[in-house]
Amino acid sequence: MTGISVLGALCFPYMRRGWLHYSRARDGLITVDDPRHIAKVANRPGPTSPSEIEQLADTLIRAFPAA
Amino acid sequence: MLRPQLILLDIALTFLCAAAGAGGAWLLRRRSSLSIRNLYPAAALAFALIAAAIAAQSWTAMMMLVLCRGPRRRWLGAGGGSRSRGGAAQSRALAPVDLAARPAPVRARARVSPRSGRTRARAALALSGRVRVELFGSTGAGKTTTARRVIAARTLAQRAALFVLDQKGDDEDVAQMKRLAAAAGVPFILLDSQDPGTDRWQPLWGTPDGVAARVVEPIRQSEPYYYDTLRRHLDIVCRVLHAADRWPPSVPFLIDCCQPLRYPSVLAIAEQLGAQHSRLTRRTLEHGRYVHSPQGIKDLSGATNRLEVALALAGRQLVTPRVTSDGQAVAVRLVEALQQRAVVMWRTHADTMRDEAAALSVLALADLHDAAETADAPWTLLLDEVGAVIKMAAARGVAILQRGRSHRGQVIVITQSAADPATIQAWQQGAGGEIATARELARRLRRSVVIVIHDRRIPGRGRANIDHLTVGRGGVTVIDTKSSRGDVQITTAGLFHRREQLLVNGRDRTASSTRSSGRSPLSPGRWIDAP
Repeated sequence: MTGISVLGALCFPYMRRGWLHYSRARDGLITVDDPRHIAKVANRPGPTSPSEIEQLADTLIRAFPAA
Repeated sequence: MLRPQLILLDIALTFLCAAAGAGGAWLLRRRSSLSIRNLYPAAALAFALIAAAIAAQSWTAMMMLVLCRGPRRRWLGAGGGSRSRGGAAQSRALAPVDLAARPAPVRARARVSPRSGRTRARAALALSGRVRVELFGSTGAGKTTTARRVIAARTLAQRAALFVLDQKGDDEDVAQMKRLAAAAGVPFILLDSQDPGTDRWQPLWGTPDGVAARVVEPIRQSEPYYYDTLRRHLDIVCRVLHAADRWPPSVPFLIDCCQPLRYPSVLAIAEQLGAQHSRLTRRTLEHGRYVHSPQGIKDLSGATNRLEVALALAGRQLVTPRVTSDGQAVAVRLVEALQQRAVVMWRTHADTMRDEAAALSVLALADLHDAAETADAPWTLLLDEVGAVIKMAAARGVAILQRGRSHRGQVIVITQSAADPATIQAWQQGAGGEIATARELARRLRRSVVIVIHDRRIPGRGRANIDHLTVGRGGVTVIDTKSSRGDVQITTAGLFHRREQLLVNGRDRTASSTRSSGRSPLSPGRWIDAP
């Protein structure tokens, strides 16, 4: 499993979001938006299979322990 | 007649004043966000006052205005006895006060009035249910000794119940509390998760609603999705147990009842209830469809396991009632301990079992929060070394501080870091945003394959953490939650070197957001390889 993309997001749950809100920064690598639209970024399409997703999640959980 | 020297002096003074004004304006511009225009009214007023003083030939007043100093006593003909800035002088001597005769101050500090010369006593630490005491300092600074004075005064003079949440578990502290309870003639209760010989604690009491809310507190911050799921499930289980007169349950028994495998037994109990509980029986039946569904089994098993790990593994014996020789199950309830003005001490061993200590602290604070409302009695809570559990217990900490103000409680916080008490409130604001984000993500991504991971620590980076991590088909998303309200915009600034700016309510917040995201080793744009 190689080449997993990483995107960043700044989530403002209490922001006042206008219709013409522009949410992309740093050439689209960082999204600045409310949780509803951040969820869309998190659910973006890609080639990773569900088993690879679980494996990757386990790796991250091991790498970053609970705070 | 104007002399040339006087004219030259006037010109030099004019240039000097202009240079001073320009320098002041430059400093104001560089060192603060104020404009020089803010000083125009004040300067006009100062010139008017100086002109008035010159016109009235009041030279003392003019000196005060020019030098910006209060009148010195020697100007008024007094001796130079008091040395102090602003006219106040304080004696360093501390005079002890008889607590029984006057319980309000713990110690009084002599204060000499510079005007009248009289000595007045001033309270250094007030004993009151409405006053919170925060003590911070390094090891050996005297925090614990000061706290002991306060709690001794509250317990002995004001007959207040005492609750001590001790994260360290020193034997000397236990002996001290025992002596205090003996001196006050009240029961002493020691609750130690690592010592089977100590007392047992029954944190579940009251209505089914209250119990369901209290028992899930230890996972509220760390597992918001499981919290919602388990809270709904517990609501029905608790109501059934209450209606069947199997109330109150112990913590291990209630956790066992929450397992999806045990739900048929709960359902059987509900079906045996009388007609007056027909609505509850119907709800229990309907809820059974969710419990036996694959999603329900997965959610409830996970939630129950999380709660068990957070709480019952460390404190299982602590929250299991002791069975006496005559077959009775006995355990201490905080509401009764509070009514009897008892001294209750938890030893949580935060150094060796940090997560379990935090879970027990949260449950203890939630229990005391409810007990203070029920029992109309004064109480004192001593939170020692609160920094060890501050993140998990902060929300409960804030709640107990508010409860103390309204329900005759005094909360004493001891910490080594002056930032911790402020962190409680700052974190409370931040945690609200994180919880809101976690809930929304869970709701939006429930039917997808995306896995959401919350609140992870970054090893080797101190207290730095990642608020949320999602793993989906498109890769990993690192989410940092900000609790700011209002307009959020991304704009570009600069003529030749265009740079992006994050504006929150019109103010540039680019630096703070870059700092927080820069802490993460999962920087956006980086491609990671997983084994």
